[in-house]
Amino acid sequence: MRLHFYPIFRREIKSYLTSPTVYIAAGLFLFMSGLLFYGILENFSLLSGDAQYRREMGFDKLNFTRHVVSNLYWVINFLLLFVVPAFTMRLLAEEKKTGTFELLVSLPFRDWDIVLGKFFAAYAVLAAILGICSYYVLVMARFGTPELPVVGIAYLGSFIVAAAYVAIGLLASSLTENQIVAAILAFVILLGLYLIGDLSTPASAGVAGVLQALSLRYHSEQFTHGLLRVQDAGYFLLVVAIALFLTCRVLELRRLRA
Amino acid sequence: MVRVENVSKYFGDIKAVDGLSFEVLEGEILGFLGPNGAGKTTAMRILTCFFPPTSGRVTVGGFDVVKDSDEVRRIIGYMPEHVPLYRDMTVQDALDFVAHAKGYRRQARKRFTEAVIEETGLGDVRKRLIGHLSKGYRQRVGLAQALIGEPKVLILDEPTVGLDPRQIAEVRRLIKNMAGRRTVILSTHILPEVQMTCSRVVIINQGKIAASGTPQKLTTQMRGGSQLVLKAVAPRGKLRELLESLAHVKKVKLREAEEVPAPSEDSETNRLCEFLVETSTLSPEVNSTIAETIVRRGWQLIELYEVGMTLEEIFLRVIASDSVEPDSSGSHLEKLSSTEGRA
Repeated sequence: MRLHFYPIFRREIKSYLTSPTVYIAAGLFLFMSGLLFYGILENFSLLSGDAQYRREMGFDKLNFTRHVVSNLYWVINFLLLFVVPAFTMRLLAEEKKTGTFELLVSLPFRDWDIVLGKFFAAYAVLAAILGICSYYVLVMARFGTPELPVVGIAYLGSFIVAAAYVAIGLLASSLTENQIVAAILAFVILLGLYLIGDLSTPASAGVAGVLQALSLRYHSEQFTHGLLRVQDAGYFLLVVAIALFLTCRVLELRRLRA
Repeated sequence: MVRVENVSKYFGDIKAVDGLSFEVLEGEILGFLGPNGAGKTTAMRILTCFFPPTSGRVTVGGFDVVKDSDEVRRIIGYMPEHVPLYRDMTVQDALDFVAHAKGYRRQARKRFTEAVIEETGLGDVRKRLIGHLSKGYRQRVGLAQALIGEPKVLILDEPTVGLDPRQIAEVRRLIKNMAGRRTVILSTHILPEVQMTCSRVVIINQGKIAASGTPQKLTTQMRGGSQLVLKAVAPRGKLRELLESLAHVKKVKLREAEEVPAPSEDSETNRLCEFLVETSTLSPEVNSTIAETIVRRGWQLIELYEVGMTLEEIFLRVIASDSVEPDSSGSHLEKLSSTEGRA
């Protein structure tokens, strides 16, 4: 299959770089994650000064990885739930509202090109912002002794998780012409998938297992613990593939009914 | 260049386009005329691969719009009715994007962008954000987007809607200048626009072709004869009688309403009078017969010219006849099948 999404990718990146929404969302994300990172570190330093606590907990050394690294990336993954919809809401909703979708369709693009161009553009911007978060690693390395493989996996995990979020955000944006609706829809879908594992009741283990397997939270937490498993990475890639495929279908259907 | 064969498009049960067939030759400017909701936009969207037809076949430049839609979209330029613009881009960037989308490399993109900016007179605003431009400029950006990459076929959906008269004239001039160089399909419900810019007209109503041909041809076909304005210095009554006695003259009407003849006035006095003569033939022989008769009598012939029926009249007549008796809509017109491709 011939892919021809670079023009869309390029245009979209330019558009992101001139959009105030993006800077505000990125700023809020960095501010919140930085603040929480500070909180996590402070908490850890308090704990480490508390010998009593240490004895009660039954270990001699506080686990830096568990208390700082895992928590930090858990926080980042959680904040992404709120931030990604702000990044993805305009992707397709705006094109439809302003009619530029008709221009895109009259140019030699396939639906795939449009969807992939938009997906990669939003993902690239988000990845750049996650890249800024690399200074947390430097901070941790300077003031503690993190296990670098765990940090690496947890950090990589955030990039993988973000891809799934972006794909779902793009799907939500294809369903409506209203950006705010697109953002809320994306957030609702994401939150639903995030919390679905917590619906499980001890009553039926089978259902609980299925719900857990569907849960964004469950799979993303494996990364934060330093676990890189095929099923978790596979889960997110599958979410990306399904969401992008559905987005293509939505575009096609909307065109046929236009 | 563009061939539409028996194309229909349904949206659920609604028939938007119904058995449309026409052909546009290279370099021709085709006016696509019809009331709102006649199916013009639907037809254009099929041509631009927005959606496939329910049945029938459309080729543009030899490429099928369904099977080779990439090729088709590379050789067409489309300006939809609601001009799609990226308001957050500069004029230059937007045009570059369209060229990029059509698969051109940096150098070619630059060349095309420059050429189009020149052609549409956007030089002054090339670095401005499109969202900050006036309506007229935006319309021109829309046209520029359609023109990028020297498309062989240009499809314009109501290109002058919402412009002021000066801008309308400008856009029409731009389009008219393309005659011979590009194949243009222009949809509109503004009739003078068609008369001014198009070499051929297709009138479409309720998804079907109601009439087609050159503007002049349509005029005469609709009326089945020509209409002449005659100005002469002659005795009014006698002239009238004489005209009515000529072969092929259907109807003679006095034109100056303000000069009501006084009852005392005798029909022998020579005076300036103006008649509207309807003939039953299209041949110009009638004109010369009239002229000859007048001159032979020693009267003064001042003016004799043919007036075309305005497209407004044609349009209204076609639309009216369609709604009254849909099946015989084109009965007094040359049927499409016989005019296509030869106009």
